Amino acid sequence: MNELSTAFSGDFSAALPSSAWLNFWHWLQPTPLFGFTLTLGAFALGQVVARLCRGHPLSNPMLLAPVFIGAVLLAADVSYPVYFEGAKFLHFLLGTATVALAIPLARHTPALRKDLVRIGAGIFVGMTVSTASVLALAWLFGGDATTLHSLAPKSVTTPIAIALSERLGGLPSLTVATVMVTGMSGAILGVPLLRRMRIEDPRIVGIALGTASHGIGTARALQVNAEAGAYAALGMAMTGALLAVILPICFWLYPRLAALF
Amino acid sequence: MVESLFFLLLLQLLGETLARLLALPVPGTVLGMLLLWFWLIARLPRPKKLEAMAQGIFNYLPVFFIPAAVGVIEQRQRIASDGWWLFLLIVLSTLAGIAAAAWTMKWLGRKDARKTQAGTESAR
Repeated sequence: MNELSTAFSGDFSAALPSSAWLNFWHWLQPTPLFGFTLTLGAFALGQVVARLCRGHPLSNPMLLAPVFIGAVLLAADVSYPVYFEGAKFLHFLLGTATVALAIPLARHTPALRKDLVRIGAGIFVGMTVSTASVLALAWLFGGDATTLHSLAPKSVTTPIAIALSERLGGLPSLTVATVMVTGMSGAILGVPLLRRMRIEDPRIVGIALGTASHGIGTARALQVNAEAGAYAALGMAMTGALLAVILPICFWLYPRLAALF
Repeated sequence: MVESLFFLLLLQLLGETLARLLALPVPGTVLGMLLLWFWLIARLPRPKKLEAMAQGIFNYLPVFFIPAAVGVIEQRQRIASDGWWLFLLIVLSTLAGIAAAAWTMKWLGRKDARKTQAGTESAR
Protein backbone atom coordinates (compact mmCIF):
# COMPACT_ATOMS: atom_id res chain seq x y z
CA MET A 1 0.00 0.00 0.00
CA ASN A 2 1.09 3.60 -0.40
CA GLU A 3 2.64 5.57 2.47
CA LEU A 4 -0.16 8.08 2.84
CA SER A 5 -2.81 5.53 3.75
CA THR A 6 -0.54 3.80 6.31
CA ALA A 7 0.29 7.18 7.82
CA PHE A 8 -3.40 7.70 8.46
CA SER A 9 -4.19 4.16 9.64
CA GLY A 10 -4.69 5.32 13.24
CA ASP A 11 -6.82 8.30 12.22
CA PHE A 12 -10.58 7.89 12.06
CA SER A 13 -10.81 10.31 9.12
CA ALA A 14 -8.52 7.99 7.16
CA ALA A 15 -11.69 6.19 6.21
CA LEU A 16 -12.59 9.21 4.09
CA PRO A 17 -10.96 9.23 0.67
CA SER A 18 -10.25 12.98 0.91
CA SER A 19 -7.93 12.83 3.94
CA ALA A 20 -4.75 12.52 1.88
CA TRP A 21 -5.85 15.54 -0.13
CA LEU A 22 -6.69 17.50 3.04
CA ASN A 23 -3.31 16.69 4.53
CA PHE A 24 -1.61 17.85 1.35
CA TRP A 25 -3.74 21.00 1.26
CA HIS A 26 -2.87 21.99 4.85
CA TRP A 27 0.80 21.42 4.13
CA LEU A 28 0.60 23.49 0.94
CA GLN A 29 -1.20 26.64 2.23
CA PRO A 30 1.65 28.45 4.05
CA THR A 31 4.38 27.43 1.56
CA PRO A 32 5.76 29.68 -1.22
CA LEU A 33 4.42 27.07 -3.64
CA PHE A 34 0.96 28.40 -2.82
CA GLY A 35 1.46 32.12 -1.99
CA PHE A 36 4.27 32.87 -4.43
CA THR A 37 2.80 30.82 -7.30
CA LEU A 38 -0.71 32.21 -6.82
CA THR A 39 0.65 35.80 -6.82
CA LEU A 40 2.64 35.37 -10.04
CA GLY A 41 -0.24 33.45 -11.68
CA ALA A 42 -2.77 36.12 -10.74
CA PHE A 43 -0.48 38.85 -12.12
CA ALA A 44 0.03 36.93 -15.38
CA LEU A 45 -3.76 36.48 -15.68
CA GLY A 46 -4.17 40.21 -14.96
CA GLN A 47 -1.79 41.00 -17.82
CA VAL A 48 -3.82 38.82 -20.20
CA VAL A 49 -7.07 40.53 -19.16
CA ALA A 50 -5.43 43.99 -19.49
CA ARG A 51 -4.33 43.07 -23.02
CA LEU A 52 -7.86 41.91 -23.89
CA CYS A 53 -9.23 45.24 -22.54
CA ARG A 54 -6.61 47.07 -24.62
CA GLY A 55 -4.95 48.72 -21.64
CA HIS A 56 -8.06 50.38 -20.18
CA PRO A 57 -6.85 52.16 -16.97
CA LEU A 58 -9.18 50.07 -14.77
CA SER A 59 -7.82 46.80 -16.21
CA ASN A 60 -4.40 47.42 -14.58
CA PRO A 61 -2.86 44.04 -13.50
CA MET A 62 -1.92 45.70 -10.19
CA LEU A 63 -5.63 46.24 -9.58
CA LEU A 64 -6.83 42.90 -10.98
CA ALA A 65 -4.31 40.52 -9.36
CA PRO A 66 -5.27 41.31 -5.73
CA VAL A 67 -8.95 40.84 -6.69
CA PHE A 68 -8.22 37.40 -8.22
CA ILE A 69 -6.11 36.34 -5.22
CA GLY A 70 -8.69 37.66 -2.75
CA ALA A 71 -11.40 35.66 -4.52
CA VAL A 72 -9.27 32.47 -4.38
CA LEU A 73 -8.46 32.97 -0.68
CA LEU A 74 -12.11 33.57 0.24
CA ALA A 75 -13.36 30.65 -1.87
CA ALA A 76 -10.70 28.24 -0.56
CA ASP A 77 -11.00 29.55 3.03
CA VAL A 78 -7.29 30.44 3.35
CA SER A 79 -6.57 33.28 5.78
CA TYR A 80 -4.47 36.27 4.70
CA PRO A 81 -1.61 35.62 7.20
CA VAL A 82 -1.29 32.04 5.88
CA TYR A 83 -1.15 33.29 2.27
CA PHE A 84 1.37 35.99 3.27
CA GLU A 85 3.64 33.34 4.83
CA GLY A 86 4.31 32.06 1.31
CA ALA A 87 4.17 35.45 -0.48
CA LYS A 88 6.47 37.32 1.95
CA PHE A 89 9.52 36.70 -0.25
CA LEU A 90 8.00 38.95 -2.92
CA HIS A 91 7.08 41.52 -0.25
CA PHE A 92 10.67 41.53 1.01
CA LEU A 93 12.02 42.54 -2.41
CA LEU A 94 9.92 45.71 -2.15
CA GLY A 95 12.49 46.92 0.41
CA THR A 96 15.34 46.21 -2.00
CA ALA A 97 13.43 48.08 -4.72
CA THR A 98 13.08 51.06 -2.35
CA VAL A 99 16.87 51.19 -1.90
CA ALA A 100 17.29 50.97 -5.69
CA LEU A 101 15.05 54.06 -6.13
CA ALA A 102 18.19 56.06 -5.25
CA ILE A 103 19.49 55.31 -8.77
CA PRO A 104 16.81 57.30 -10.71
CA LEU A 105 16.90 59.90 -7.92
CA ALA A 106 20.65 60.42 -8.47
CA ARG A 107 20.08 60.52 -12.24
CA HIS A 108 17.59 63.41 -11.87
CA THR A 109 19.58 65.37 -9.29
CA PRO A 110 21.38 67.58 -11.91
CA ALA A 111 17.99 68.78 -13.29
CA LEU A 112 16.95 69.69 -9.75
CA ARG A 113 20.15 71.69 -9.15
CA LYS A 114 19.51 73.79 -12.29
CA ASP A 115 16.22 75.28 -11.01
CA LEU A 116 16.36 74.37 -7.32
CA VAL A 117 14.14 77.08 -5.79
CA ARG A 118 11.23 76.83 -8.24
CA ILE A 119 11.19 73.02 -8.43
CA GLY A 120 11.84 72.63 -4.70
CA ALA A 121 9.02 75.04 -3.85
CA GLY A 122 6.61 73.34 -6.29
CA ILE A 123 7.34 69.89 -4.86
CA PHE A 124 7.20 71.07 -1.25
CA VAL A 125 3.90 72.96 -1.61
CA GLY A 126 2.34 70.19 -3.72
CA MET A 127 3.18 67.38 -1.30
CA THR A 128 2.25 69.45 1.76
CA VAL A 129 -1.15 70.42 0.34
CA SER A 130 -2.06 66.89 -0.80
CA THR A 131 -0.97 65.30 2.51
CA ALA A 132 -2.35 68.00 4.83
CA SER A 133 -5.67 68.20 2.99
CA VAL A 134 -6.35 64.46 3.12
CA LEU A 135 -5.40 64.33 6.83
CA ALA A 136 -7.50 67.39 7.70
CA LEU A 137 -10.54 66.13 5.76
CA ALA A 138 -10.29 62.58 7.17
CA TRP A 139 -9.94 64.01 10.69
CA LEU A 140 -13.02 66.22 10.14
CA PHE A 141 -15.01 63.19 8.96
CA GLY A 142 -14.03 61.41 12.18
CA GLY A 143 -11.41 59.00 10.81
CA ASP A 144 -9.54 57.04 13.52
CA ALA A 145 -5.74 57.10 14.02
CA THR A 146 -5.25 53.93 11.97
CA THR A 147 -7.09 55.48 9.01
CA LEU A 148 -5.05 58.70 9.26
CA HIS A 149 -1.76 56.75 9.44
CA SER A 150 -2.81 54.69 6.42
CA LEU A 151 -3.85 57.76 4.36
CA ALA A 152 -0.82 59.97 5.19
CA PRO A 153 1.62 58.44 2.64
CA LYS A 154 -0.94 58.69 -0.21
CA SER A 155 1.27 60.72 -2.57
CA VAL A 156 4.37 58.61 -1.91
CA THR A 157 5.52 55.96 -4.38
CA THR A 158 4.11 52.56 -3.32
CA PRO A 159 7.24 50.82 -1.92
CA ILE A 160 8.05 53.78 0.35
CA ALA A 161 4.34 54.26 1.20
CA ILE A 162 4.10 50.64 2.44
CA ALA A 163 7.24 51.04 4.57
CA LEU A 164 5.88 54.32 5.98
CA SER A 165 2.47 52.83 6.72
CA GLU A 166 4.08 49.92 8.61
CA ARG A 167 6.34 52.32 10.52
CA LEU A 168 3.53 54.77 11.42
CA GLY A 169 1.13 52.06 12.55
CA GLY A 170 -1.26 52.19 9.60
CA LEU A 171 -2.67 49.31 7.57
CA PRO A 172 -0.31 48.67 4.61
CA SER A 173 -3.17 47.17 2.57
CA LEU A 174 -5.35 50.27 3.05
CA THR A 175 -2.31 52.36 2.08
CA VAL A 176 -1.83 50.39 -1.15
CA ALA A 177 -5.48 51.02 -2.07
CA THR A 178 -5.11 54.74 -1.17
CA VAL A 179 -1.93 55.11 -3.22
CA MET A 180 -3.61 53.41 -6.20
CA VAL A 181 -6.63 55.75 -6.06
CA THR A 182 -4.27 58.74 -5.73
CA GLY A 183 -2.28 57.68 -8.77
CA MET A 184 -5.30 56.84 -10.92
CA SER A 185 -7.19 60.06 -10.08
CA GLY A 186 -4.14 62.23 -10.76
CA ALA A 187 -3.42 60.44 -14.04
CA ILE A 188 -7.02 60.68 -15.28
CA LEU A 189 -8.06 64.14 -13.95
CA GLY A 190 -4.66 65.90 -13.63
CA VAL A 191 -4.08 66.86 -17.26
CA PRO A 192 -7.62 68.28 -17.80
CA LEU A 193 -7.26 70.25 -14.53
CA LEU A 194 -3.89 71.72 -15.58
CA ARG A 195 -5.30 72.58 -19.03
CA ARG A 196 -8.14 74.43 -17.32
CA MET A 197 -5.54 76.33 -15.25
CA ARG A 198 -3.87 77.23 -18.61
CA ILE A 199 -0.60 75.56 -17.64
CA GLU A 200 1.31 74.15 -20.60
CA ASP A 201 4.95 74.30 -19.45
CA PRO A 202 5.98 70.60 -19.51
CA ARG A 203 8.23 71.14 -16.48
CA ILE A 204 5.26 72.34 -14.38
CA VAL A 205 2.95 69.61 -15.71
CA GLY A 206 5.59 67.00 -14.85
CA ILE A 207 6.37 68.23 -11.33
CA ALA A 208 2.65 68.59 -10.49
CA LEU A 209 1.74 65.08 -11.72
CA GLY A 210 4.80 63.34 -10.23
CA THR A 211 4.52 65.09 -6.86
CA ALA A 212 0.80 64.46 -6.35
CA SER A 213 0.40 61.06 -8.00
CA HIS A 214 3.82 59.33 -7.99
CA GLY A 215 4.52 56.56 -10.56
CA ILE A 216 1.09 56.45 -12.18
CA GLY A 217 1.15 60.24 -12.63
CA THR A 218 4.68 59.93 -14.03
CA ALA A 219 3.49 57.39 -16.61
CA ARG A 220 0.75 59.87 -17.63
CA ALA A 221 3.28 62.75 -17.84
CA LEU A 222 5.46 60.61 -20.14
CA GLN A 223 2.50 60.51 -22.56
CA VAL A 224 2.49 64.35 -22.61
CA ASN A 225 6.18 64.40 -23.61
CA ALA A 226 9.60 63.17 -22.50
CA GLU A 227 10.48 66.41 -20.67
CA ALA A 228 7.28 66.30 -18.60
CA GLY A 229 8.05 62.64 -17.84
CA ALA A 230 11.56 63.39 -16.60
CA TYR A 231 10.33 66.20 -14.35
CA ALA A 232 7.51 63.96 -13.07
CA ALA A 233 10.09 61.30 -12.14
CA LEU A 234 12.02 64.00 -10.27
CA GLY A 235 8.84 65.14 -8.46
CA MET A 236 7.96 61.56 -7.54
CA ALA A 237 11.46 60.73 -6.25
CA MET A 238 11.80 63.93 -4.20
CA THR A 239 8.30 63.60 -2.71
CA GLY A 240 9.06 60.01 -1.69
CA ALA A 241 12.42 60.89 -0.13
CA LEU A 242 11.19 64.04 1.64
CA LEU A 243 7.92 62.62 3.00
CA ALA A 244 9.68 59.42 4.11
CA VAL A 245 11.69 61.59 6.51
CA ILE A 246 9.15 64.36 7.29
CA LEU A 247 6.03 62.21 7.98
CA PRO A 248 7.55 59.99 10.70
CA ILE A 249 9.04 63.08 12.39
CA CYS A 250 5.66 64.89 12.29
CA PHE A 251 3.78 61.88 13.69
CA TRP A 252 6.51 61.45 16.32
CA LEU A 253 6.41 65.14 17.30
CA TYR A 254 2.62 65.62 17.27
CA PRO A 255 1.67 63.71 20.48
CA ARG A 256 4.69 65.22 22.28
CA LEU A 257 3.76 68.79 21.26
CA ALA A 258 0.08 68.15 22.03
CA ALA A 259 1.06 66.97 25.53
CA LEU A 260 2.75 70.32 26.20
CA PHE A 261 -0.46 72.32 25.85
CA MET B 1 24.43 41.00 -11.43
CA VAL B 2 25.03 39.08 -8.19
CA GLU B 3 27.37 41.74 -6.82
CA SER B 4 24.82 44.47 -7.67
CA LEU B 5 22.08 42.63 -5.76
CA PHE B 6 24.52 42.01 -2.90
CA PHE B 7 25.38 45.74 -2.86
CA LEU B 8 21.68 46.72 -2.70
CA LEU B 9 20.98 44.16 0.06
CA LEU B 10 24.02 45.42 1.99
CA LEU B 11 22.70 49.01 1.88
CA GLN B 12 19.23 47.74 2.88
CA LEU B 13 20.86 45.93 5.84
CA LEU B 14 22.85 49.05 6.74
CA GLY B 15 19.71 51.23 6.60
CA GLU B 16 17.68 48.80 8.76
CA THR B 17 20.57 48.49 11.24
CA LEU B 18 20.90 52.29 11.55
CA ALA B 19 17.13 52.75 11.97
CA ARG B 20 17.06 50.14 14.74
CA LEU B 21 20.27 51.16 16.55
CA LEU B 22 19.37 54.86 16.58
CA ALA B 23 15.62 54.13 17.09
CA LEU B 24 14.80 56.47 14.16
CA PRO B 25 11.16 56.84 13.08
CA VAL B 26 12.20 56.74 9.37
CA PRO B 27 11.85 53.31 7.65
CA GLY B 28 15.19 51.50 7.36
CA THR B 29 14.76 50.87 3.62
CA VAL B 30 14.38 54.64 3.07
CA LEU B 31 17.60 55.24 5.02
CA GLY B 32 19.22 52.68 2.73
CA MET B 33 17.89 54.63 -0.27
CA LEU B 34 19.26 57.94 1.10
CA LEU B 35 22.66 56.31 1.81
CA LEU B 36 22.81 54.99 -1.75
CA TRP B 37 21.76 58.41 -3.08
CA PHE B 38 24.69 60.12 -1.26
CA TRP B 39 26.97 57.29 -2.39
CA LEU B 40 26.02 57.83 -6.04
CA ILE B 41 26.17 61.66 -5.90
CA ALA B 42 29.62 61.43 -4.28
CA ARG B 43 30.63 59.20 -7.25
CA LEU B 44 32.04 56.49 -5.00
CA PRO B 45 32.89 53.15 -6.70
CA ARG B 46 29.83 51.01 -7.47
CA PRO B 47 29.16 47.60 -9.05
CA LYS B 48 29.27 47.80 -12.85
CA LYS B 49 25.80 46.42 -13.50
CA LEU B 50 24.00 48.30 -10.73
CA GLU B 51 21.78 50.29 -13.12
CA ALA B 52 20.79 47.15 -15.06
CA MET B 53 20.01 45.34 -11.79
CA ALA B 54 17.83 48.24 -10.62
CA GLN B 55 16.00 48.31 -13.96
CA GLY B 56 15.41 44.56 -13.63
CA ILE B 57 13.88 45.07 -10.18
CA PHE B 58 11.74 48.00 -11.38
CA ASN B 59 10.35 45.85 -14.22
CA TYR B 60 8.85 43.51 -11.60
CA LEU B 61 7.88 46.26 -9.12
CA PRO B 62 4.07 45.87 -9.53
CA VAL B 63 4.37 42.15 -8.60
CA PHE B 64 6.04 43.06 -5.29
CA PHE B 65 3.10 45.29 -4.28
CA ILE B 66 0.55 42.51 -4.58
CA PRO B 67 1.08 40.55 -1.31
CA ALA B 68 0.48 43.80 0.63
CA ALA B 69 -2.46 44.80 -1.57
CA VAL B 70 -4.23 41.46 -1.00
CA GLY B 71 -4.45 42.49 2.68
CA VAL B 72 -7.42 44.65 1.64
CA ILE B 73 -9.57 41.48 2.03
CA GLU B 74 -9.02 41.83 5.78
CA GLN B 75 -10.38 45.40 5.57
CA ARG B 76 -13.66 44.44 3.84
CA GLN B 77 -15.84 45.90 6.61
CA ARG B 78 -13.87 49.15 6.84
CA ILE B 79 -14.05 49.61 3.06
CA ALA B 80 -17.75 48.74 2.92
CA SER B 81 -18.55 51.37 5.57
CA ASP B 82 -15.93 54.10 4.87
CA GLY B 83 -14.84 53.34 1.30
CA TRP B 84 -16.87 55.97 -0.53
CA TRP B 85 -15.96 59.00 1.53
CA LEU B 86 -12.33 57.89 1.74
CA PHE B 87 -12.31 57.58 -2.07
CA LEU B 88 -13.71 61.11 -2.42
CA LEU B 89 -11.19 62.62 0.05
CA ILE B 90 -8.28 60.94 -1.73
CA VAL B 91 -9.35 62.23 -5.16
CA LEU B 92 -9.98 65.78 -3.86
CA SER B 93 -6.66 66.03 -2.00
CA THR B 94 -4.80 64.71 -5.07
CA LEU B 95 -6.32 67.43 -7.27
CA ALA B 96 -5.53 70.04 -4.58
CA GLY B 97 -1.90 68.86 -4.58
CA ILE B 98 -1.61 69.08 -8.37
CA ALA B 99 -3.13 72.58 -8.43
CA ALA B 100 -0.94 73.77 -5.52
CA ALA B 101 2.31 72.52 -7.09
CA ALA B 102 1.42 74.02 -10.48
CA TRP B 103 0.36 77.40 -9.03
CA THR B 104 3.52 77.69 -6.94
CA MET B 105 5.79 77.04 -9.93
CA LYS B 106 3.80 79.33 -12.22
CA TRP B 107 3.85 82.16 -9.65
CA LEU B 108 7.60 81.84 -9.02
CA GLY B 109 8.20 81.66 -12.78
CA ARG B 110 6.21 84.85 -13.36
CA LYS B 111 8.26 86.63 -10.68
CA ASP B 112 11.48 85.42 -12.33
CA ALA B 113 10.27 86.61 -15.76
CA ARG B 114 9.40 90.05 -14.34
CA LYS B 115 12.82 90.27 -12.69
CA THR B 116 14.69 89.43 -15.91
CA GLN B 117 12.43 91.86 -17.82
CA ALA B 118 13.18 94.62 -15.29
CA GLY B 119 16.85 93.71 -15.55
CA THR B 120 16.94 94.13 -19.32
CA GLU B 121 15.00 97.42 -19.07
CA SER B 122 17.39 98.94 -16.52
CA ALA B 123 20.29 97.77 -18.69
CA ARG B 124 18.99 99.98 -21.48
